[in-house]
Amino acid sequence: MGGGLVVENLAVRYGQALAVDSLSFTVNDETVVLFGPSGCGKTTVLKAILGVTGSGVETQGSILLGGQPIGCEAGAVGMVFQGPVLPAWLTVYDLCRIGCNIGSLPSAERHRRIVHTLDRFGLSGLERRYPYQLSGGQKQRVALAVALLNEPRILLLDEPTTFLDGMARIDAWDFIERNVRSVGIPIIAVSHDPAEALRLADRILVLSSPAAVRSEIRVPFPHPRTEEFARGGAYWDLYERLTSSFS
Amino acid sequence: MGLAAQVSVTPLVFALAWSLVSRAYNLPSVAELAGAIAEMVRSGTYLHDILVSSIRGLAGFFVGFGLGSLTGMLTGRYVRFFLAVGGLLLFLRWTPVLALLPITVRVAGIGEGPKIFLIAWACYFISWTYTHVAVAGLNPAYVWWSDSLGLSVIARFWKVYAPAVAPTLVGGARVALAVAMIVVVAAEFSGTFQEGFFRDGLGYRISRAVETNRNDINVSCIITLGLLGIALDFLLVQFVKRGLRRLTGIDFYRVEG
Repeated sequence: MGGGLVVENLAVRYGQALAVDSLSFTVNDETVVLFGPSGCGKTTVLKAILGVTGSGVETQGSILLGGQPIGCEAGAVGMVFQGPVLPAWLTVYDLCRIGCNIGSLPSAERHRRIVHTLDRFGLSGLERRYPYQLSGGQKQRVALAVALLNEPRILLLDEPTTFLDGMARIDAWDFIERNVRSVGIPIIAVSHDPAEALRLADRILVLSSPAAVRSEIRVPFPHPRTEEFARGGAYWDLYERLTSSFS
Repeated sequence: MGLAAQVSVTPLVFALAWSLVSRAYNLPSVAELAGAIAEMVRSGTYLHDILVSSIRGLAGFFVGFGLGSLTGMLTGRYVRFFLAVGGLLLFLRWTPVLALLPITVRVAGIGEGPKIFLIAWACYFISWTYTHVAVAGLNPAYVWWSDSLGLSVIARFWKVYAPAVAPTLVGGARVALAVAMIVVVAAEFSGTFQEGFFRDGLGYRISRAVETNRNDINVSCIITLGLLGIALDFLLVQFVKRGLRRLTGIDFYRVEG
C-alpha cells in the first residue's frame, strides 16, 4: 500500500444536502486533479481528507494514509487553501516558523530549514514582509512553503491558481511543476480549469455533482510540462474531453 | 495631521471656539475656567477627584470587559450556549444602564459597590457584543489552516485566533472605556460618602457645582473628563499594543491593509 492515500466510499452530508456521494479513489506518488464544476463538492473532499468538515456535517467512509486512518499523525497532510490563507499579521518568516512546528526540531535546525526553503522557493529577502506586501505569485509560493515545511506525507491544493491571472498563473504552474512535484509526495489538486488540470495532473478524476467519480483520464505527457506541450493535438483532444464532461 | 500638531493645535481651536460660545451664551470664559481649575488644585480636590473617578471607571471597566469578553468568547464559539443565554443577554443589553441607577441606589445604597456595578454592567454588554461578533465571525479558513499545520492549542490561540479577533476586541474595549467614563459621572451624581478616600469624584464635583451655581467649576470638570478620557484611551491602546506584542511576539498593530 506504501505511503499512498486510499479513499473508500466517502460520503459527506450537510444536513439534507449530499455533497460527496460514495467517492472512492487512490493516490500514490503522483498528482491527481479532482476536476468538476463549481459547487460539486471538490473542496469538501479535501476538507474531509484534512478532517475539517466541521461540526454538524455527517462524514462516512474511510480515508487511509499509508494504511493508517488519516488524522493519526499531526502535520501529515499539508494543504494550500484557496485564496490562499495567510494571516495578515504574520510576516513571511513567522508564517514559515508556524509551518515548521512538528516534532522537537532545535531552533537552529528549524531556522536552517526555513532559510533553505525560502531560498528554494525564491522568497529570500522577503522574510520580514507581510502578506499584503507580496504579489499574488509570491503569496502562493509562501503558502506552498508553509504547507511543505512540516514535510507532510501528502499535499492538498485547493484551486491553487484561481486568484492569479495571465502570466502569474503560468508561472505558478511552472513553479509547482519544478519545485513542488520534486518533493516526491502525493499531491491532490482541485480545479475546474481544464488547462490547469492538464498542466499538473498525472490523472484527472472527473467528478459529478454531488462528488462521485464520473470518469478518469490519464494524462500521458511527461513532466516537467511547459507551455509548449499545449500545442499538440493530443493535448487538445484531452482538453475537449474535459470541457465536454461538464455538459 | 501628526500627533504633535494635534496636541498643539487642538487646544487653540477649542479655546477660540469656546470664547465665541461663552460670549454668546454667557458662559465662563477661558480665563475663568483656568481660574476654577487653579482654585480646585489649590484646595486639593482636583487631582483627588481625577484619581477617584479614574479608579471607579477603570475598576468597573475591567470587571465588565473581563466578564463580557469571556461571555462573548463562549457565545461566539458555542452556538448552543448562545441559544441558551443569548435571548436574555440581548434583553438585558437593551435595559438602559442609567435607568437602573435609582433602583441600584435603593437596593444597595451609594457605596462603591453599586457604582462599580453600574459601570461594569454598561461595559459588560459592549464587550460581550464586540467579542461575540469577533469570535463568531472568525474566518473558518484560519481554523482549517491551523488544523492543517497541526498547531497546538496554545500556538493557534496566541498566533492565529487572538490576533484575528484582537482588533475588534480592542475596538470594543475603547468604546466600553468611553462608556465607563460616562456612567462614572452618572453614578457619582447619585451621591458619595462625605468621608474616606472615595468621598468625591468629578461627577460629584459637577453635581455640587450645579447646586452652587458654579458654572466655571462645572465646565472645568467636563473638560477635565474629556482630557482624562483621551489619556485613558491612549494608555489602554499602549497597554494592548505592548501586551499583545509580549504575549504573541507579533507586532500586528504595524500591519496595514
